[in-house]
Amino acid sequence: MTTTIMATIMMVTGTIGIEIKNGLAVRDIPAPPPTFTSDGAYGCCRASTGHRLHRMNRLNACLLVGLTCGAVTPCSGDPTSVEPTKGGCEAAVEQTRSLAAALPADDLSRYFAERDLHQAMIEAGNGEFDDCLEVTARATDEIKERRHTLQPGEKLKVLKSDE
Amino acid sequence: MFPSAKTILLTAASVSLALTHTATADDRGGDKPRANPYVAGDMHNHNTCTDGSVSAGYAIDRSVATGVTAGGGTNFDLDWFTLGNHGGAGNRDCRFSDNSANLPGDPTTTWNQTLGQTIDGITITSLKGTPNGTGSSATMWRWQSIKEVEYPVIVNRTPIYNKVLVEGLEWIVPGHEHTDVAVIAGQNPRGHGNADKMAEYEFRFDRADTDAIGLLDASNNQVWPGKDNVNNSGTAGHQKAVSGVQWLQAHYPLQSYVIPTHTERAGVFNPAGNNGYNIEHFRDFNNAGPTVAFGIESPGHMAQGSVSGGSGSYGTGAVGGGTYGLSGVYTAKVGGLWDGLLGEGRNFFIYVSSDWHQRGAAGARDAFTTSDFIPGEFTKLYVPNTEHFRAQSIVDGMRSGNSYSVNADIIGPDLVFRARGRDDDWKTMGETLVARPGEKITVEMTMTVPAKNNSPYSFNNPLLQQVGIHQPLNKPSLDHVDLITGKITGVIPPGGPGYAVTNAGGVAGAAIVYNPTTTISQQIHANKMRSKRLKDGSTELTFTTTFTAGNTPSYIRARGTNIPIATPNVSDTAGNPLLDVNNALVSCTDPACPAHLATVNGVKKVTFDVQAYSNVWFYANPIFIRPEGSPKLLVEKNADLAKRLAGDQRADNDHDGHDHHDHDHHGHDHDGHGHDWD
Repeated sequence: MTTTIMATIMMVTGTIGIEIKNGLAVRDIPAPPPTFTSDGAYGCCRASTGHRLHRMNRLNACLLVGLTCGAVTPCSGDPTSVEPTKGGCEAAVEQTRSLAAALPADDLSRYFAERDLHQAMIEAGNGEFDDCLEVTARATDEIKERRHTLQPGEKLKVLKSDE
Repeated sequence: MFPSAKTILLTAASVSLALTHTATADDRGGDKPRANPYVAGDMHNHNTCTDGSVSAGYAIDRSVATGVTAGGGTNFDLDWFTLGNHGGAGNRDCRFSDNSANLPGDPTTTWNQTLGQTIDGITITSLKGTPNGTGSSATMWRWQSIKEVEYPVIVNRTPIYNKVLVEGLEWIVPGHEHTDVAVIAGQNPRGHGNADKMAEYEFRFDRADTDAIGLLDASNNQVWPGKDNVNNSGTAGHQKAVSGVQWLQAHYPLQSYVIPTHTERAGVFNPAGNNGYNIEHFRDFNNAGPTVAFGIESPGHMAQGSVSGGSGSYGTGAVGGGTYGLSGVYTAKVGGLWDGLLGEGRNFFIYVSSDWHQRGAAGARDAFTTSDFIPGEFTKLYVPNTEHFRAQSIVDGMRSGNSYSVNADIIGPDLVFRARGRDDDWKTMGETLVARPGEKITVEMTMTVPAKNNSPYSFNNPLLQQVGIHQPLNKPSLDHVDLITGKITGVIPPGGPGYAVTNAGGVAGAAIVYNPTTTISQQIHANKMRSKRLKDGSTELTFTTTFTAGNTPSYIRARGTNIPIATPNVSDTAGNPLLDVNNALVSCTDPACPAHLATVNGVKKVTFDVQAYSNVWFYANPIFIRPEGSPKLLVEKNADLAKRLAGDQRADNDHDGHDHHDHDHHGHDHDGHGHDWD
């Protein structure tokens, strides 16, 4: 047997469109490729168009659940920040899990997000709370941006444990 | 110090390339089987002892076995394998895989479920050290799983595969992110041995291992007393990390390595936290451990790149803002941090490994991945093959610098990269050629481009399609090789000008130049190389070129890629890799583009494993060149130090007649008791 996730029609118009994060437009007009000769215009915490602050989302995950888990992000510029905690991680995971649960059970982005959340809890079990928040942030993005869609009739085949 | 800017070190004056392109069927008869001069391995990967998805045994099986594993899933036939799991603690019994791996009959199992049971010949009767969690959250400290689970698994697997298996560690470094470490002293899987020294290092120096007790002897006395459980972050943490390197240098100068990994990922160093590394931290490590801290590792997680980046598990806050050709900016940038270290003449080399944890949306047996590759599937670290290849050969090979790092099998196990002057004394990677100023330096490179790699995709590379090249993803191709040169201006003393360099997170970090003399001196296109088609469908490529030695020491390093210069969204006009997030601006439109690719407006983009197989590079370590009569470079001095230590070690072992694996360079018997470390 094969796990099959059928194509899901995106239910929310504009999910894959212009979205505002950290006060900056993302995925609108692609930015020119930064090169090694960049003058730093894409510098952390003042990212330009087309460049999402991936690692900042860990902090967002903390803010999302109203915790001061204090993930020290490279962008924070706050050398007094405390380390992320298990509690902060678990709260972020739960918050994102509820977002995922709002999607249809066969939604591909939900599947990707829930896989990430599983890994996030594994990271927590290993004491890697920063990685936990990082993976949780990726799951949150997956849900918000619906990064995975299937064409009609297309399938994602994943071997299950009973196969 | 050598005077800087005194001379131009090397001039790309006479490129005497052999320009014939001689790929014909008639050439096929000339090749014959031969032993590979290099052997492939992986030193950074994970299992369920920490945050991986498969059991320790399964991780080894898939990495070093041949054929197909029971239940499906290709094995990747590595020659050597270092199990390099995190420090800290874990709650899962790593004789079992995680449910997410979707492996038949191999469910997630926690330590509280199996205590007292004998499984795979291993019996764990208790969780030792400071109690840490209860119920299914009860964890085993990593020093215990290193010693009592992973190493016994290695002992069990070694005779099955007849491969070299080593117990290592991904050290969670006080004050920093992570570092690959192995202490091979005591390890002797064929004769059993033990991983006690590896476990001791983890206990003493891993910031995630906060156990205050550690191993106890029969009288309940601490075997490893004196642990610093306080200074685990920031500047104080860094000093503890340096102490760890010093400890290895003092005890196991030839039987250990310390290789910081994914060094850009956590951003710049944070004096009050645990983040990344700046150049001064690598200098500190190399100064503290001249024969153990000799390089850095590029990031693994090669299949994590989505539409907003993430390859290498690098976010936009990483130094450089992400990966470049799937390498971090410290190594990918010409004139970047690595060149800054080479510009001192340091023995500081580049390595790569998989950082295998899990396959994202896929299970362990699926052909696709949206996260990591299994060791040997995509990334190979080559070290010299030797007669009676063993764990010491891995460490010796890495320390020598005679190694190279390959993604997607763009080249095979037989790279020749060497240089000579007026006589026939060839020097290879990690070695130093002494030459007279003005002398012609001949550089030769030979490599084999294999007929195939492990990609499950046979559709054409979408990044190359942009420039009219139709190259299937499962067939490696080489576009060109860069010969990159830089001046060596001498070792900067601690605290001296330029020893510490202001670093920056994000793309701003990519603008920092550490060695302004570094340049792509020569770029040799594959169609300008001698080409020979071999029987197995692979292609041998060779070129010879010349430089002119200058009055200043210098180095030549090499990298190669399938990406032509100025490929839109992939490389710049000089051939440097762009930030990899730009690859995702390219659509994957072939009908065979897989369902797991990330989409934008319903259109699949070059992401995940398709990105990894599309944007392929290899890196070769440098050959150093020094003017005749000038002082030896640090790389030479440290190689001499290693030779002296090896001589001492041999003398000690000859004297006491014991297996050298169980002894350090002082000849001390390491039975786990009575260390002089304080």
